[in-house]
Amino acid sequence: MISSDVIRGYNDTMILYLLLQEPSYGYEISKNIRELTQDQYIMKETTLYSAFSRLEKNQYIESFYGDETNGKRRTYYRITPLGRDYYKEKCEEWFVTKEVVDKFIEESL
Amino acid sequence: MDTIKNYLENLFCTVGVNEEVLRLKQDLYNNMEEKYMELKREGHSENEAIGMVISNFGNIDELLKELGIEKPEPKTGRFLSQTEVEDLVYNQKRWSKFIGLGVFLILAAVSTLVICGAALEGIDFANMKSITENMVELSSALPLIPFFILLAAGVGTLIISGLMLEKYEFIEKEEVDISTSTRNWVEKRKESYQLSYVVSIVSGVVLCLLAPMILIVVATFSGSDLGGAIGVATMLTMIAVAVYLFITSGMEMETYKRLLKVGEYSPERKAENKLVSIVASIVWPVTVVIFLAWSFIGNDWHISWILFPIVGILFGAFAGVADIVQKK
Repeated sequence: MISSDVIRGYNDTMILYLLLQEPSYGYEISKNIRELTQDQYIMKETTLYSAFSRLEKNQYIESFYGDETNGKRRTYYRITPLGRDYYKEKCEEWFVTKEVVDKFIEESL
Repeated sequence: MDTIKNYLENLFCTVGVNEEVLRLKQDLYNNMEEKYMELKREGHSENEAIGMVISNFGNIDELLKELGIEKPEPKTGRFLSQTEVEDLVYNQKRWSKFIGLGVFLILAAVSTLVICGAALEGIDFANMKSITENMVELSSALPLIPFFILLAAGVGTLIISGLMLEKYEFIEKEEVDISTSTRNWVEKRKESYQLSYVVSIVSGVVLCLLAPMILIVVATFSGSDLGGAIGVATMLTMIAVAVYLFITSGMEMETYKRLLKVGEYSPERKAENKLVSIVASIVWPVTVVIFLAWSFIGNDWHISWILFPIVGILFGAFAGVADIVQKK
């Protein structure tokens, strides 16, 4: 299990990646993250919803109400153009980060 | 699933209620419910599923901070058990009826005085001055007997009710905490009471509006002073019933709201209400003094009463302004 400290900077990126594919909602996103990482990263609920709040405040995503299961409204999210730009930035940031950190990683250990 | 709902409620119990918080709670609940269902489908037992859902929840403080929601000190107040809350609710309800009764008796006392006075002496009921003049005459001492009896009964009832309710006064001054299940119980009661509450208040208002009209109608058509006095008595009775309704329904709803700390009794509103209360405790006694002085000196009882509605409206305006300013 990856520690949340390490992955902290990329929670937003993960969510945006999934929203790039199609709009989605809380549980579905959390499930996809788990499946995509093959159980290596399971995002906590509080982390997930903190991210939603942050992303929405920065207008990288917007929320809308979807179908009503049992009369309860489900909050869906979709990515915005601003969000797409931010996603690209984060991807580039990761490439640079990866290059930098790799220089300090012993491959032969 | 109740376990999960209670878990969420407990986490959020010290957080203020607003649209954002409600949406978040709903989203979190939906999320946890779906996860629970899926775990059950995968073959986990109910307890396992609940345990897994809760343990994967995470740290609520982080979430609240992100949302900018202030999490106030939990449980600083006095904790009330279910029994204590039930005791509080039932007694407030019971004794508020007695208070209403007390007021009714006092107004009935005044009515008796007016009727007996008019019946015995044939005085002009609209001119209070002659009542006080006539009071020195022996024959008009008679109406004083039922008046004093009813007055004493009314005051006595008020005193007893006040004493019985004294031990519950803490709810007005202290912070109070209740458990989630108690909270649910109170919420259910409040919801089921809502309809009666509205009916009571509306009836009371209608009575208050009709009361002076009845007086005018009766006084105009009766011609005699006795008729006029009966008009006054009817008006006072209607007002007494209205006051009874206001007091009983008002107190009951207020108790529920205080316990749930919603609306007027949320921590934010309490601070604001302090200012308004302080001003009120100055303005109203001053108004009464001015009213009495004006009436006795100028003998203008039939005009001076207008002071109260005027001050009432001005004060209402002040409270409204205070509310707006505070919100900024």
